[in-house]
Amino acid sequence: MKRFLNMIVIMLVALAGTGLFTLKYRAGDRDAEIQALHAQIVADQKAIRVLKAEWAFLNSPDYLQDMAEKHLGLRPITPDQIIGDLSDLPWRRAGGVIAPPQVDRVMPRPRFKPGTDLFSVPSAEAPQSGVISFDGSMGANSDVLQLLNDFDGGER
Amino acid sequence: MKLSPRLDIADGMNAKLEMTRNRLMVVIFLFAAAFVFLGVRTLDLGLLQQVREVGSGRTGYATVMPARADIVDRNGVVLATNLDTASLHANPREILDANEAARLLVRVLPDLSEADLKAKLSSSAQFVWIKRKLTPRQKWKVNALGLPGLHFRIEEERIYPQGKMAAHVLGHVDVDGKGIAGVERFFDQRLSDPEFAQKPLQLSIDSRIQHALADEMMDTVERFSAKGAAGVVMDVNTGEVLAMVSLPDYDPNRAGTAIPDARFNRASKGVYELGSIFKTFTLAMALDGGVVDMNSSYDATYPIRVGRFQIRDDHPKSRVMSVPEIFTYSSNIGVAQMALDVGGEAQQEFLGQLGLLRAPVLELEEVGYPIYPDRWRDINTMTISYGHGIAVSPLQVASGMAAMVNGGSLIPATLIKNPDGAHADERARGRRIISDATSTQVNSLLRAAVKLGTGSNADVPGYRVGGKTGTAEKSAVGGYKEDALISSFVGVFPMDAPRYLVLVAFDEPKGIAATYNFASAGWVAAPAVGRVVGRIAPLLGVEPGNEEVNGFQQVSLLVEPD
Repeated sequence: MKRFLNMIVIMLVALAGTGLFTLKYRAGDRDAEIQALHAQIVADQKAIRVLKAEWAFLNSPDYLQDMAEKHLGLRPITPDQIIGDLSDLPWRRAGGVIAPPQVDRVMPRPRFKPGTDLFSVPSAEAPQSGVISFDGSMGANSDVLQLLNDFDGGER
Repeated sequence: MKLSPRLDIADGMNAKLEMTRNRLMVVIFLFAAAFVFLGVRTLDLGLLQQVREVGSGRTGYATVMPARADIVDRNGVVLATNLDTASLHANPREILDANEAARLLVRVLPDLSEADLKAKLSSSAQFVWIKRKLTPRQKWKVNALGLPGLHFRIEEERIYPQGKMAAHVLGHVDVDGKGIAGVERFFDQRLSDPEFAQKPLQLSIDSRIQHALADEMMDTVERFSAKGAAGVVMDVNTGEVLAMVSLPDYDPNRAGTAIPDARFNRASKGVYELGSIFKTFTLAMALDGGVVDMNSSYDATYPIRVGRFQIRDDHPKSRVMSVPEIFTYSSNIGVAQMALDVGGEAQQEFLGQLGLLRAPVLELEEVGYPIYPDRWRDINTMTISYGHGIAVSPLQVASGMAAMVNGGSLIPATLIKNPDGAHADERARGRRIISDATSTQVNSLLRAAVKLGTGSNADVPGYRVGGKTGTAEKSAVGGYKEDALISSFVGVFPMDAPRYLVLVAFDEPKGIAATYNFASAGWVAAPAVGRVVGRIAPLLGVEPGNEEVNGFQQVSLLVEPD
């Protein structure tokens, strides 16, 4: 009985000792980890401050203007290039046709003689490959165009 | 028998031994219990319970605490910040070859003198400064030399990443990081307070507008070889200063090398006779007091002679002029008579209310006290009516003009951004100077002066600019110098609901061929304002549009074209 009790006590002591030892070291490790993280945070914050200053420096209007003048053909916008309100847009003349979008991109080669009205030419020749025509042979699209044209004509 | 006494003793001892044993058992038990308790508690804490973090000396999270708070513009762009920089020092005892070290260092840091360095490095001291505040590149180069005995010390330095931008607003700090000019000085306590170290100070300045104003002014200064210039862009409804420029300017990163003239803030510290811009105040005063109305007229046929002094017109019409004509064609003769009708006392009071007779109130210590006559005689009343004989800072005039166009309330100018939504209260906070109706009349007069009169070069199609030119001869000993002018222009836009004001003044511009050798405001300052408005209006969200029907049309009917 006594031996048994002793064994238990010794085992408990050993267990508690090992546990404490591990705990202490784990806590120490965690602490070191936290300190490293804090140091990292401080380093990052310092880096952010430096980067912010650099960002401000590289984005200073003076520098940007210099660069733009050297490398871009951009000019300041003039008031007549700004449309403040859609109602500022003038009405189109009655019977006009809505210009199809992306005319430039879908016209790989000239099909019309200069001077001919692009949108009133009847589509006698079939639309060529890669070229979309706007004369009503496009199904759903042309319905939309037709609708827009009708609306426009009716409005004026 | 022999044993019995021993047994007796043993018997007696036995009882005592028993007692000791019991005591020992109790102690052992107590200790065991304590150890078990400790063990269980340890296991419990370590394994079972959620451990609450117990402060181990540090509280909260680590953060960088700059010694001085940042300064940012109204959009959060950094204007001033504190960064770590390396300063180079050396321990001469560790230096192996002073001559070699000096030779190599000079190659990397060319602004140091080799002889000087040699003397320093061969001294017997243990610590000598070599150079303070190296750039990262220089630091890298010094490191690359691989010389022993050189050390860096990390110090915080104030950096102004935008360079010269808004130098006079920001000011600068001395070597100890103490603000000695601009908002750095005015808010020195706030900026160096550790409690606010993380919170940047947000100014009302908009760096884009500041740049546009400075850029256009610089251009004009160069073209007309002016000695200097001052400019202000202000929100007329809140008093916020969006840009403040004084030329020549300096780089606050190298404030020590700037000449005093460049450090002088012409916009708030300098006081100038700004000339005809003051006619706006005279007219507003006369209209508001009911002394004149739009249909009144004055005879401007002949110059007025007062003693040895003569009041002439720069653009003489030599006829009777209506009130709008007097303003549009900037007639000194007309406006002087108008001021006499109002009276000197009323004029003094009016200008006093506008804050033109005291130093401007602004978050800067560089504010200039106005210069005006001690005795306000009739001649003073007359000259002051067109802006001569009174010298005020451009900033004050901007504030006063804002009060003229914003509906009549004087709102104190500020360099600090108003929190969003505070706009509505601003006008109530301001002091009413003239009535709403008078303000509307002044607006139409300003628009007429640009549309039909001396300020036509300031017009930008679509932005409805209104404004007034001011050409003043600089005073010299015993009179005025005719060839030394201050050319100024105050522009306001959009005129149907004024929001922003641009004021520029150029010191001694010289006429050039393109302006037919004129250096007057209409040729120098007005076009500059026009270009500034064209650049900043899109940034400020002012939509270009057509002239709305307003007082301007009626006023223009009263102006007879040339």
